[in-house]
Amino acid sequence: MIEDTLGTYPAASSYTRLATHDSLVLQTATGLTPHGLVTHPLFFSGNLSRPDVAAAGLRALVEIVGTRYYKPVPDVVWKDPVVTANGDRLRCEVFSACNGVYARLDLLAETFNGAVLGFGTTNVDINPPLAQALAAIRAHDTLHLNVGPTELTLTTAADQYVERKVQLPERWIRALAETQSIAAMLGLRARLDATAWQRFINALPMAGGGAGVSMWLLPAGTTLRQTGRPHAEAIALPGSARLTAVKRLSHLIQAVKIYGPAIDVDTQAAVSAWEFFLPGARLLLMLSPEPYRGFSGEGALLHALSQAETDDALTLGALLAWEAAIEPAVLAQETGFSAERVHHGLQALATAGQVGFDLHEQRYFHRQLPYTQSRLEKNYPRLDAAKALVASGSVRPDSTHHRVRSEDHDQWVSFPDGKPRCTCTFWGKYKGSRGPCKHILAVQLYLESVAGTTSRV
Amino acid sequence: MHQIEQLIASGSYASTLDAARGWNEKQRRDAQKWLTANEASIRKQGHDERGCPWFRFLIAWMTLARDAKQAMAIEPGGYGHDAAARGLLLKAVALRGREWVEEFVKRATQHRHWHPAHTDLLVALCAAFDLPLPEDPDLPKHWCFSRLRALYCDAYQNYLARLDGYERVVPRLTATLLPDGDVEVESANVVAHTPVEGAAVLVAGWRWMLHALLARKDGILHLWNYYAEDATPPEMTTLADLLDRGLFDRRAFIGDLIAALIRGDAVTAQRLQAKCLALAAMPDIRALAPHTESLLGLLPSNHGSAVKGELELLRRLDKASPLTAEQFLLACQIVFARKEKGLHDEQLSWALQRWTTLPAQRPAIMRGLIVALDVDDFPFQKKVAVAVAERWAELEPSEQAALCASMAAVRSAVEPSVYAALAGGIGGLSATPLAESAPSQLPVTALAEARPLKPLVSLPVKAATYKELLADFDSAHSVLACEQLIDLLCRARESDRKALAVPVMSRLKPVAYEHAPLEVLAFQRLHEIQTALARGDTYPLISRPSYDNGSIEPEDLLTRLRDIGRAGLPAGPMDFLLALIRTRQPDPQQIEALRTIGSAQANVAADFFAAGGMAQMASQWQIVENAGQARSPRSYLANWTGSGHPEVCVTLQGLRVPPAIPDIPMEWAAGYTPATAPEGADYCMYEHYLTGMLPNNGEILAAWYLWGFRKAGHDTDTSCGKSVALALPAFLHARGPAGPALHLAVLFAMSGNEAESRIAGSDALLDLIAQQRYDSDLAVTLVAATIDCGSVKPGRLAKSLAQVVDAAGPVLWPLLRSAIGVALTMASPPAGSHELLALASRVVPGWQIRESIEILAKTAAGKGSSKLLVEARRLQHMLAD
Repeated sequence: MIEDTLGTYPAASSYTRLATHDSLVLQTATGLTPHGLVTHPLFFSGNLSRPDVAAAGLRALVEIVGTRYYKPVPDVVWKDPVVTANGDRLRCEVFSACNGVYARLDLLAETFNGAVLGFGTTNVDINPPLAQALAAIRAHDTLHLNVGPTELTLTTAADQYVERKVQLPERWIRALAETQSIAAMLGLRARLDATAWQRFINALPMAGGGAGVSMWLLPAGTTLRQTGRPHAEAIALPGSARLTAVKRLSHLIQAVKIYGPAIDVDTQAAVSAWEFFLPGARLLLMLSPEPYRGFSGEGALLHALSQAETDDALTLGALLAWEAAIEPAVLAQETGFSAERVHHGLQALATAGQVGFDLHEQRYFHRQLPYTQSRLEKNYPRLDAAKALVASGSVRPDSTHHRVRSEDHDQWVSFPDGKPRCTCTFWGKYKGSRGPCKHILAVQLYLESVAGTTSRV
Repeated sequence: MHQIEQLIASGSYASTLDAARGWNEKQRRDAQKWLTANEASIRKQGHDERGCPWFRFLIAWMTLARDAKQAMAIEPGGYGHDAAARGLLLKAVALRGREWVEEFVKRATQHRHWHPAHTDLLVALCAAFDLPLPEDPDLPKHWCFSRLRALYCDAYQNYLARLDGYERVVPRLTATLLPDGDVEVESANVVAHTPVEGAAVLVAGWRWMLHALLARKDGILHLWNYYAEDATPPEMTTLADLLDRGLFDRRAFIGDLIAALIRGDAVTAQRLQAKCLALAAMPDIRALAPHTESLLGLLPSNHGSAVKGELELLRRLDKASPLTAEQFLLACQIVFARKEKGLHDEQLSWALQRWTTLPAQRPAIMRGLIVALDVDDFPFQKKVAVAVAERWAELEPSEQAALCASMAAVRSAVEPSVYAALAGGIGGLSATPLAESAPSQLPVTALAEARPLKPLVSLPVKAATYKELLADFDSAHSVLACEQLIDLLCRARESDRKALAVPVMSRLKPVAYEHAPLEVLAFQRLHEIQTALARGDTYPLISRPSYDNGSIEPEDLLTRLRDIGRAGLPAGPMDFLLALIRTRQPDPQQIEALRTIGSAQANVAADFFAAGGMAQMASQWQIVENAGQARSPRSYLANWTGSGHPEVCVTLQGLRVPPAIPDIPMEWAAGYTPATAPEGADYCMYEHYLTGMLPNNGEILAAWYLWGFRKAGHDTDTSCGKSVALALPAFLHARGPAGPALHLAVLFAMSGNEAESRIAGSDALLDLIAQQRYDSDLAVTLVAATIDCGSVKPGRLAKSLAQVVDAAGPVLWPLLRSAIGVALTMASPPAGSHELLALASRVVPGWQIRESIEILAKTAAGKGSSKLLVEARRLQHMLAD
């Protein structure tokens, strides 16, 4: 758990029914804002246009964060959503207890009746009693939302509340960076309207263990056809029951967009992202390639981390101020970097957990977690091992392969058709689905060092 | 010293407690020392009898222990039925104060000797001090089993069928904290003459336990576990009784249940929670009024069976204290968005009832009915349309105008004929088609072509290649990687062959199953190669496949036999056999060419292929009538002849001319009859090997493993479906004509209990069509026979067909027509038959089918409004249109 930086909550988040209106207070922990680290920042205080949407969305997040889809267990330790205020919208991010489902609820400007929100990133407290109370919020209620402490909280909290530390596990940090990096590589595969979605989800088999049935989906007329085999136009659905939380919003869904990577007939498993359009909000669910795989172990960042242009990323990072949609062209203009260099720089920032990717906007958004890139890198022993191999001169070019001396044996790395391949057990088992092995990383680092610095504009 | 010794030897429990509490620090220390020194000898004096020294020891120990940790240092042992001992022990602990008790409970629940033997004590302490339920899940489980459930069960945990002569001793143990710091303990063994009496004795523990368990996810299952899913646990009757007597706080109980339902527990837990809620709300439904919004919030996410109960409660609540128009509309939106058809009917019936009782809310109710038109179920839409048309005139014109917009919004989801009828019945609606309001259209993915075979290339003999291939094999277990490795080994230098034979070959070995002939062949061939290579022998590998599915081209076999004939180096017998069964049937010229080689093996090959090769193993389908009782088959035989009902199965003809190779097992070549068919359900992990064994005979593979596909259709199956999903695509990758076994395997898979099986079946059907191996006439006959026998269920078949009809097109119409025909012909059409009709109605217009089906016309002419009849009339209308 990351407790040192994020601190505690001043009080428990609460929902209160008052005579004139209802009040929902989401308590914040220590947050990063344009003014630096702020204890219990206040991001929003005002009425919501559709309280039912916000409540149902938060309940879906609560269900996801409290569910282990792979090998379910009843008692799951509670975790706190990461909330980012981007001035006009509020984004709440969570992972399931198995770390295989990433969910983000974006409450858009319409929800806040056009009111201005603050800027920054922090954790909010969503406790079980609050989760239960959210169930009673309806569309016609007048709901006052506070994201941050109220004056009342700050004056009375000390006497009445036993401080609770922020629950943000280490693996969320890596997964938060991994998912954004993966999201940036996904393309739109299908779009369903409310009726088509309803028919699709009602015909979807959900039984079959905690995560349900894994399958591929192919566009077919008004719906998506279920198939057991990958296909060029297919979308992966790795564990149908991992979409269950969306049922809480079924009557609110207006449309669904499904995103996925490019698939071919040899693809074993793939990630997919499901974006649900709600009145004034969007809910994104990203499913890991297989139910037993958590996002924190996907290794999608390894290559990017090995190539991270730290200076560029620092330059770009300094220009960001919690933008809801980062414009690469503007950044290019401000920094004098080429579009490609900005793109790589943003990727590097994503690997550091400093930007997220909004699939609908197809833009990065600024979301800075209160930790540094070095903290992220220490989670990647494979990268460290690869650097050590290069440093010890264990990589040697052969005629068609690169021989990597690792411990007491050799591994051969080759790049047939430009795709990496290694003879080690790790590569044989995962075929790159968990990122490159340390041998491939070492060869890539070696080749880059041989080729010299990458050409820059 | 003397005092404690005397107390333990001859005091009473109460005097021990009182005396120990009154001692000063020195006396306490001395007494503790004495107790520690004499523990073993006192323990030996026994645990169970009334007034025994051991309990006095425990009471003294608990009173004197420095802290909870020290208190835990002594193993308590059991204390039987002595109520006085239990009570005084409870008092001794409770008197130590809240913090001490908290620590004690925490430690006790983790201590293997304290827990679960003294659950009563812990429960009483938690209840008295209002402590949360300890984390250890065994505590409530043990209490529920040993106390609550035991009231209703015999000594073997079976529910009692009769309560004649019922008598139970029930331990009552409660502690009450008094304002002066004292503790009042009640401990008695009460004789109960009914389970309800017993439960009343335990009510304090039960009240606390119920509250604590409902606060925990799936906790309710500890109370009522292992009961039949549809039954109401007998304890619930008692719960109702206790609620009526006011021993439980009804409002608090309802609050706990609502909170648990909001959380969304396991399906069984939700069902129980909903039942409990109904029980709690039985005498006065208004008790639920404060929770109306929460109840509505449960409807989208709770399991269907729980929602059914919740909907019923809302309906009753609505009767007693009407819901607002917005609340009811929300209920309609949520329920009609769910998939359970039973819930749709319930909701519709509620809406129609409200129409009469709440005229002021009619616009909202009509809006709810319009939402119902969005449900993808023709008979239901029709029913709703009739209801809407009948009530439309009762609305004010201004209300009608406002509702017309809502009606137009759902138009794209409504069956055109229903909408047209509706538009005709009510004014203000346009009946002309609206192209832009059609549902979103996605492109239909074209039928996938048969996966092309990849040639097997000989790779350079290099260390890196071995490693790469082994890595490939470890990840995929593919025929390709396996055969390339063997090929590489056989071509290696003698020293490398010797060194690598054992480590490499041992990685490739499949497990040998005694009763699975193909696996035995695969194993023996690998063994043969490994032995030869380990000796350093040259091994002329003639079974090396030409393609990635294991198939050998006749020309390749010819060349290899010619080469080894010239070299005078015969192939290993197993390798030779495998080469023969792997080779695609040669043409007559190639068979003649084989004869010209002149070697013994070439002649055997020529004779085998001249007799028809593996095609000699033809399959035929038949129906086995099983009039007798079901029997358990021997483990390695299929259950075709002992299932107790007719089965559609196949007979596999043996090889008339098997290859004349001495000393190799040929049992597999004898084929089988339904009575001797192999069990073949437990597909091993090596389905790819199997395809590699018979790459041109998918039909024989399917025949060998057909029972596994049949078993996937059993209602209780939870494992075969996944095996089918793995095996079927591999079997389809093996080429050759598709006969009854392969068609039956596909049909069985499509009717599988598990979704994985049905998806694999749908894919396989498309594959058969794409590979032009789909025999429509055969499929038509088989689907009729299997539905008639009950081995293919129309509902599941319809679901599977629905996935592929758009991609496959009209080629599936004969199959669909046949399935419909046989289902309607049966005396009692099987469940789900209407889904076949609905599917046909969906595809018939696009396929432009116009024909007359006699049985359909007859059914459609029948009286009634069942879903089957409504769908039959609709299809009849469409076919005649």
